[in-house]
Amino acid sequence: MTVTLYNCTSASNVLNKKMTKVQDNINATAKGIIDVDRPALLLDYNSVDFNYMYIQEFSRYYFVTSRALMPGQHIMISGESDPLESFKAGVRDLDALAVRNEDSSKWNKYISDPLMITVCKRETHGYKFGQMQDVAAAGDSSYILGVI
Amino acid sequence: MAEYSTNYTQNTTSYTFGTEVYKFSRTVDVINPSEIDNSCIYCGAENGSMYDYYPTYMLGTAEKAIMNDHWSASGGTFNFQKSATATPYNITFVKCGETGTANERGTNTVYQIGKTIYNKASSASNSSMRVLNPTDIRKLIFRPSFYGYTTSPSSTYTNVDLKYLMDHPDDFFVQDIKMNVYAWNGSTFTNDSEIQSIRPCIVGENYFIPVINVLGKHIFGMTDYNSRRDYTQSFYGTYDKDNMPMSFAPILTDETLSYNPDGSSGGGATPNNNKWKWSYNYYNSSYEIYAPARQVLQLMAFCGCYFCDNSYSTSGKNLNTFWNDEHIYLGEMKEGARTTGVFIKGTELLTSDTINKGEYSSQTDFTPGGGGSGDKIDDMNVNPLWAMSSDAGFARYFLLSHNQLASLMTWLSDTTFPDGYDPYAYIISLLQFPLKLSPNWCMPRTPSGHIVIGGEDTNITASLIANEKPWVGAGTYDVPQLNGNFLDYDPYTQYELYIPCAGWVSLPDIVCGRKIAIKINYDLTTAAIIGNVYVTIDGKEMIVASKSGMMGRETIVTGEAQGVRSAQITSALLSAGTGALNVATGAISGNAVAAVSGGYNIVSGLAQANIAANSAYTRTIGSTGGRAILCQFDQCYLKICTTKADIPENYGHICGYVCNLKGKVSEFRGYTVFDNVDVSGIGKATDREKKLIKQILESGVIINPSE
Repeated sequence: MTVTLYNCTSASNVLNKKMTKVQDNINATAKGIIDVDRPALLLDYNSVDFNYMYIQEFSRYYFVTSRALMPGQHIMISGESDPLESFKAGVRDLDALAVRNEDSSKWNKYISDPLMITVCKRETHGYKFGQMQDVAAAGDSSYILGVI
Repeated sequence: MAEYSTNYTQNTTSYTFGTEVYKFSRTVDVINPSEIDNSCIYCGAENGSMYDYYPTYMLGTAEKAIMNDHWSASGGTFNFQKSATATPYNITFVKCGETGTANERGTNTVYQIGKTIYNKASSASNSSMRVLNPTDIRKLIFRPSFYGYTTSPSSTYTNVDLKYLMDHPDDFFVQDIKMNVYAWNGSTFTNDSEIQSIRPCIVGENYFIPVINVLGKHIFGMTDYNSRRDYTQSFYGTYDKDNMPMSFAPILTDETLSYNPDGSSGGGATPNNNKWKWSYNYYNSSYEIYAPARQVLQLMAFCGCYFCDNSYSTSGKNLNTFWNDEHIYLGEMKEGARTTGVFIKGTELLTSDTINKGEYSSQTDFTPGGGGSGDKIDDMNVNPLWAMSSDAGFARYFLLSHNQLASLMTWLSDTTFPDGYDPYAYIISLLQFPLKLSPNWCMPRTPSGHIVIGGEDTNITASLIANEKPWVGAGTYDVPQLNGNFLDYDPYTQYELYIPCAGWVSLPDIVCGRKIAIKINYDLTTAAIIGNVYVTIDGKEMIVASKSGMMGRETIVTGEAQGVRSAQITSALLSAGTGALNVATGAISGNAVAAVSGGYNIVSGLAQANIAANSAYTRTIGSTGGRAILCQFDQCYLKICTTKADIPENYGHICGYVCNLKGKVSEFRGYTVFDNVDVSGIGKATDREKKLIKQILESGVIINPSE
C-alpha cells in the first residue's frame, strides 16, 4: 500500500484542512485484515514527525491515532478515517441550511439567540417628550365652571 | 393641483401657473353648504362691501425679488352664493390677483397670505391682490419679532420672539411686529431677511377701513396717549363658520399713513423701523394701542402659513425637512380651506390632519435593520366618537382664570340678590385644573361674554368651553432600538409610557424602532382624560395602548345665598300671623309678624333693612377633590428597560451568529452550524462516514476556502 504522511494543524472539524506533506510514496504493509475505517499499518519509515496520512488505495485521509517505532527502521501506526476531508468536494457541494455562522454580516439580529449570554443587570432609559397644553406656571391654574 | 368640482360646470376653464394647473368654475349661482366640495379651493368675498377679513400684506420691490416665485397673478372673479337667498359672494381663485392700480396701491403689489382672499374686479375703490400659492406656503417661513410690554404697566418696552408669545399668551401685549422671512429659492433657504416695506392693510370698500368700527364691532378702542389697555375683543367676523370659507385679516394699519376713525386719511406718519403698529391717528394725535399676545397668535395662525421662532435654523434643511422642528409653527387649516387660528408645532405635523401641511403626511419607514416587519394592518380610522360642545343640552361651561374665579366668588358673596334667587342652584360644578387652559378650548367663533347664572348677569367676562378638536397631540417620539437586535423585543425589553394625568401604560414591543404619537382627549366638563398611544406602521395609525385619568379636581363652591335666606325670613314673617310687625333695630325676633296681605311689601322699610342684614346664608356646592391630582408631571415619558448581551470579541468563531440562510456549504466561511443536512449526495462514503459528516456539519464545522 502507498501512504503519504502529513502534518495537519487543523482541528478535526475543519473542512479543507491545512496540512504539510512530510513524506509521500511510503510503502505500507498490513498484518492480516485491514479495516478501511481504522487501518493498522507497518510503514517503511522511521520517524514520528507526522499526525495525518493519506492511503492511496482507499482514497481516504486518516488521523494517525497511534505510532510505535519498531526495530529495523519501521513504524507501526493506526489511524481513523476523516470523511470530512476525504469527501470534501462532495461536502462542499451539499445544499444546506446554515443556522449559525462566524461572519457577523450574516447575523440575523432579530432571531433569538439562546447561546448569547445576557446580563442580569438591566439598563433603563427614560425619554421625556411632548407636553400637555399650556402648563401653568407655579401657582397658576384654570377653572371650569359649569352652570345651567 | 386643484381639480374643479363636477358640481360647478358653468364656464369652466383652467389656468396654468408655472407647473400647476388649476381648474375652476368662474360663475356659480348657488352653492348650498352641503355641496361644498373639499377638493376645491374656495375663496369668498362679499360683493359690494367688506364682510370678511383677509391677511393682507403689501410687499416692496426687495421682497418681491425674494418671494415673487411664490406669488402668482391672474384675473377674474367668481361668484359664490351660499344659498338662494343669501348675498352673492365673489369667489376669487387662490392664485389670482392683479397688480394694484397706481392710485390704490402705489407701485407696490399687494400680496396676500391665506387661502381666502377678497378680490373684486379692478376698480377705483379696490383691486385684487396676488395670493400666496397654497402649495408654496411651505416655501416661506416667517419669523416675527414682537415688541411690546408685559402685563406690568411699568415694564419696559421689550422684544420677544414667537416662542415667548406661545409661552406667555396672556402675559404680553404686542405693540409692534417686525417680520423676517426665509424663502426657498429652489435649492436652499435664503438667509433670514427683514421684510422692510411690508405693510399690512385691510381690503375693503375703501383702501383702508377704519379699525374702530367694523360691522359695528369695536376691534380696538381708542386710548389716551401713553395709556395702555388690553383688548380682549374677538377678531372674528360674523360669518357662518359652517357655510363659508373662513378668512381673517390682521387689523393692522399702515405704518406710514394714518387714518381718522371715520376712515379718512390724515395725520402724520409714524414710522417705526419697519414694524407694524397697531395705531392710528386721531386728529393728528397718535395713539398707541396694544393687542394681547393671545389674539396676535390667533391672528397669525389664521394666515395658515409657516412661522418660526428665533431659535429656528434653516441650516441643512430642505423642503422635505424644514418643517420637522420644534421651532416651526403652522397655522392649522381644515377642509374647506378654513384656518382655525390654532398653531401646530412642526414636530406634530406628522400626526396632524391639517390640510395645508403639504405632502408631509407620510410616515418615514422605520424598519428594523435587516428585519422587515412585514406588518399588515388595516387603518383603524381612529375618530373621536363624539365632539363635545359646551352648549349641548342645558349645561354651559366657562373657562375661568384665578382672577375671574375670585371675581365670581365676590359676586356670589357681595351681591344682593332678589328674594328667592339662589345662584348656587344653577352652579353644577367647579373644576380646578393645574393648567392654564388656552383659548383653544373655547368656542373659537363666539366672542367672550358675561357669565349669566340663572338669569343674573355677573358682569364677569369668560369664554365658553368647546371641544371641537377632542384629540390633542401630546407629543411624538421615535422609539430607539437600544440593542438593534432581538434583545429589543419581548421578553428582553419592556416599554412603558407615562401619559400626563393618566399614568403609566405598558406598550407592546411593536413600538420598537417606530414613531409613537400620544393623543389625549380632554373632557373639561369632568376633568377626565383618555390618553391613546399610536404607532404608525406602513403609513397607518394603530392604537397600541390607552389609559384614562383625571387632569383636574372638583372643588367646592361656597358662599352666601342672600336672596334665598331673605326670602325665607320674609316668608317666616308673613306666615307668623297678623298684626303689626315687631321691629327691633338690628334684629328680627322670632315672633316678628306682619300683616299678610298680598306679599311682604307691607313690611316696613326698617324691617326690610333688617331682613337684608340678617340674610346671611351659606351654601356649598360640590366637594373637594384631592390636591395631589394637580401635581402631575406634564410631559410624556418613555421608559425602556432592556437586557444587554455580553458578546465577547471572538463570539462568531466560537459560537457563530444566528442566521437562517440557505446555500451550498462552499458559500460559507469560518465556523458554521448547519441544520438537518442531507448528505445523500456524497457518493462513495460509507453510511458510517455519511453519518459522521452530517454530525460534524450539524455540530459545527470550520470551513476554510478551497485553495
